[in-house]
Amino acid sequence: MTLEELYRLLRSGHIQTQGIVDTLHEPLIVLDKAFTVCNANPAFYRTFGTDMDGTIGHSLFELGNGQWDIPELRMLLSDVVPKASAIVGYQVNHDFPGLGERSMCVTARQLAIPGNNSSQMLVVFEDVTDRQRAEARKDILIAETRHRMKNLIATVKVIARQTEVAGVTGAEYRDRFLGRVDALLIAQDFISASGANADLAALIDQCLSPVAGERTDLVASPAVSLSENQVLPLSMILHELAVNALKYGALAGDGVIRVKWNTELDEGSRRLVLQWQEVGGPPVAPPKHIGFGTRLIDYSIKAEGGSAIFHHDPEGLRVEITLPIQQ
Amino acid sequence: MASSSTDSTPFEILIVEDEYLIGMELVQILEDSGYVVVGPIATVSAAVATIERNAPSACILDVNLRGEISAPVADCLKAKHVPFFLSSGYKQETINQEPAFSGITNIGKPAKPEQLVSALDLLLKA
Repeated sequence: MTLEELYRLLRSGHIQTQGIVDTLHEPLIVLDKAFTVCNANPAFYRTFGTDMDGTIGHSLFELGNGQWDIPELRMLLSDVVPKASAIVGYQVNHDFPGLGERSMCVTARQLAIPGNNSSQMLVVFEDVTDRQRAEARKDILIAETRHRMKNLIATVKVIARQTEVAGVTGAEYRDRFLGRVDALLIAQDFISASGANADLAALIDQCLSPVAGERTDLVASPAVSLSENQVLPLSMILHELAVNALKYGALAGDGVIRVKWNTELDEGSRRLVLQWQEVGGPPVAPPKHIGFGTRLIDYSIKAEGGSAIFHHDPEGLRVEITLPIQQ
Repeated sequence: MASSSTDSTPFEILIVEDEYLIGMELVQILEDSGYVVVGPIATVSAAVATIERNAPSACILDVNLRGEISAPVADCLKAKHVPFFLSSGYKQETINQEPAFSGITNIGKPAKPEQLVSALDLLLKA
């Protein structure tokens, strides 16, 4: 091999190595025994907002106003060369100037060059901040999903406990219970589908159709959007009213349920006034006992700061519900 | 039945709970036992404001209120010396991560009605 051939071989090897190092996405530096930077790749300059002049020939622990001068890191690095050990994924959390609060994983190992006594060390920095944040978010999401699931089961248990058992058959209990669970699920679906803008007309339609089928008369009324927290109370109320209509009211005969609403200003805040009117059914009388349905309506209305007035008109039950709305 | 019905002034129990039907059942259980119920209150800020205004005799506190951890409510209750317990479906180790909840019993969610009332009686006797 001629000297020229050897030179070409070394040169192409050097260019190849330099190319690999320059292409690396992770910041990388080469340190000598005294932790002085001998070499750094473009990713290092880019990441830490520095340049060759401010890096090469300086001690790692002086770089960026001493941001790497962390006693534990210094101790670990001091062991790399003498013990030929390696640091893999040592995490440094630091507020880097211009970068902000970041988590860096530092990996360092000795660069042993055969026949050469000068020990060097290769140090790679990996920014794991975003990955860690994404993982933390995923953990929160999983915990939140689990939490919601438990709450949903707890709510179903409430419905099971609260559904009347006295004087009903097992089948009646089951149907009543499942009807209420359906009303709960309708509300859940509705919230996830519509988010913060739940349309009242659509909610009424979805709540009433499983019980009343086509026998609802939704009178054209102004568009009202409900807050997320009003969806469940309203869907439960509508379900209870519809089931009662089916048992004792208009739907027990050939009647229909007519629903219409309006909004009005009351002392500066807007409220919904909803009229539930049963027509064409058998004569109605006030209920003899207070069940879950009545209690639920009372509670919902009180909790939401509204009111529900029941008129047991002989021609059909009429309920007037008022509810504060944000608009 | 709670001993509260025989006292001259009934105990006022604050319920901090964002789940609609769970809150409703809590109200019913406590009212049936002779307590006066305040709430349910569904948000951290509203709960803190209520306690600041008028400290209740005791409180039943949910841990997650519409996505917000109720630690500020716990701190406020401690500052006002209001005894309370947690009503949460979270695992104990998750609850333990929050210092504001240290030393506070979690009766679980849902708790059985009789369990709830006896826990409350115990809390008020202490």
